Amino acid sequence: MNRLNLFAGLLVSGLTPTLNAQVINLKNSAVPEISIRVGGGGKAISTVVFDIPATNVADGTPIPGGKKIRIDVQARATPSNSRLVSLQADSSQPLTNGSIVLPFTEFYWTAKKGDIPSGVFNGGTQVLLEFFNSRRIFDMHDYVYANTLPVAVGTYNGQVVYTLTMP
Amino acid sequence: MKKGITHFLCVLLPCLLCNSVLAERLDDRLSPQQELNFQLNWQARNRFDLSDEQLNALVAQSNPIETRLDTSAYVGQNARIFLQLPVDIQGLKSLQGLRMSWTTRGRFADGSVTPGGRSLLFEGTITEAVMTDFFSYRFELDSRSMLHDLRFEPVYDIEIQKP
Repeated sequence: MNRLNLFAGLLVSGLTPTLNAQVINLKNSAVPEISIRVGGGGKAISTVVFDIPATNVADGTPIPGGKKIRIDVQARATPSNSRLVSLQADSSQPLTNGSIVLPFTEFYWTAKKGDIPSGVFNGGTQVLLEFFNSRRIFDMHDYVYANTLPVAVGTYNGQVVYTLTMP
Repeated sequence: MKKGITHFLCVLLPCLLCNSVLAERLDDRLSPQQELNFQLNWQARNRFDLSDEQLNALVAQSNPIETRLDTSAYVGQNARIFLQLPVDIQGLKSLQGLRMSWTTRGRFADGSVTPGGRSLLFEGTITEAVMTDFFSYRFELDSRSMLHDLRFEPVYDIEIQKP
């Protein structure tokens, strides 16, 4: 019985040597980052044009925009899924034609994939999407003018500002 | 009862003999630098065409680091030396999330390894009491696998090969 204990002791000591000295430490120096690109990117502001035939003004016929806009957002930080990222759109400033205004509530969009969902501008600041960090999300938005408000003929210009935030 | 013990010892003895021949851990305490600290940073920057894997890729690289292995007990013997990473690494959530690769100055082989795996450094006759080389490491880590800073010990194993 004593011999059995001796062999068992050898087995344990043979499997657990503590010889190593080098220790590797990998320290995280990566700064949390977020990025957003709406449209073509760069300093230029992407423009969507809606041409409303005079015979259709305010008759409720949806008027599609001239082109789709790609929205691309990404956020990274460690650990993953630790920070809530928010994509917002600010449409509080209406389109204007001189002193005449046209609210952005007359515009909505459909998403190609739905990763950044379809919706309608609320004329203020609204959350389009929330997601946790360590992801990249993109989609194509196809904008439509609802064409329900009677407005004076002319050219109206306005701007929606998209903002991405992460705490 | 006596018969039972005899049978157990008969099985245990060959196993112990096999283990002692197959793999032993080498002492690397002769290495001049003991604590090796590396800074992880994002691998890709200012790009929008990244996959999630590329977006979350962290990387760290080192200057050549001198490593000395005590092989004095094995001079004259044919052996294989491996570099192994432990399975359990502090701060790491997923084994697939980390890869360590290296280049050397030729005494040992270049290679790469993931946690729980090992890579052949040397095969042949041990001729020196201390085997030395300089390792330039590269660490690639998926930040989604990172809980906090990582800390681990590389393990150097030697296998003596019978003639």
